[in-house]
Amino acid sequence: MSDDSEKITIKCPLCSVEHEYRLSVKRSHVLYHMLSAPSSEEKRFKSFKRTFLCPSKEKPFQAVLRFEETFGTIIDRVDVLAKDQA
Amino acid sequence: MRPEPRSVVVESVEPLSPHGKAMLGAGERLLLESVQTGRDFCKSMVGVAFAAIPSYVGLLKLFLPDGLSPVKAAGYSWLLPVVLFLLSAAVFIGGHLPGRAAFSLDLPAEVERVLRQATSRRFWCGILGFVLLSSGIAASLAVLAKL
Repeated sequence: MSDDSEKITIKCPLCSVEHEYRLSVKRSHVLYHMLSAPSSEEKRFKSFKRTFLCPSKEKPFQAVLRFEETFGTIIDRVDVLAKDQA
Repeated sequence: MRPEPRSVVVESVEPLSPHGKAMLGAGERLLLESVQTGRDFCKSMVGVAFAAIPSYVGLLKLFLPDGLSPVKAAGYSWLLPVVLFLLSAAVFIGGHLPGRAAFSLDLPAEVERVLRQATSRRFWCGILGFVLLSSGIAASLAVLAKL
């Protein structure tokens, strides 16, 4: 399992300003995916609804994030990192 | 060269739904109460563990034939429940006492670590104390049955 950190920019629905957040994305490498031909694989997406905090209003809002599962990997978990963890 | 596809796309953004708000509130309450619940349990169990000692001694006195000492009737094993009750009370006191930890409120990860430690300590003190108390009750029943 690998743990990557990704940066996203979201236009805040509360203050209409773009904020930057960091996500921790845990991916698993799957053997049966590795055995099948990459060309025969259809694009697979996974959506996660996560809560974010608007830094200017200090109020939470939610966003649905769509991740593309690349060949041979599945996404297990997505966490929004706190500011000191980012 | 083909550009690298973006792996994450923001599908929709909206203010927190009433369900999300309720979940967030429940999570907040759960987080704040997690330490207090363990602490309250340990606090009430300290009294129970200490009260078990005179109750056991009283019952022992009631069951013992007149003029016979508990050592003669049941050997030194009559002390085992008292020791178990005392140990259980000591463990519950350990769970009730405030912890010693310095942390900065500006670092949520540090607050989370301290909170997790405090919750875990109280949980294990509660479990261990309860096991000792139950063993004490079982031992006292065994001693009383022997008389």
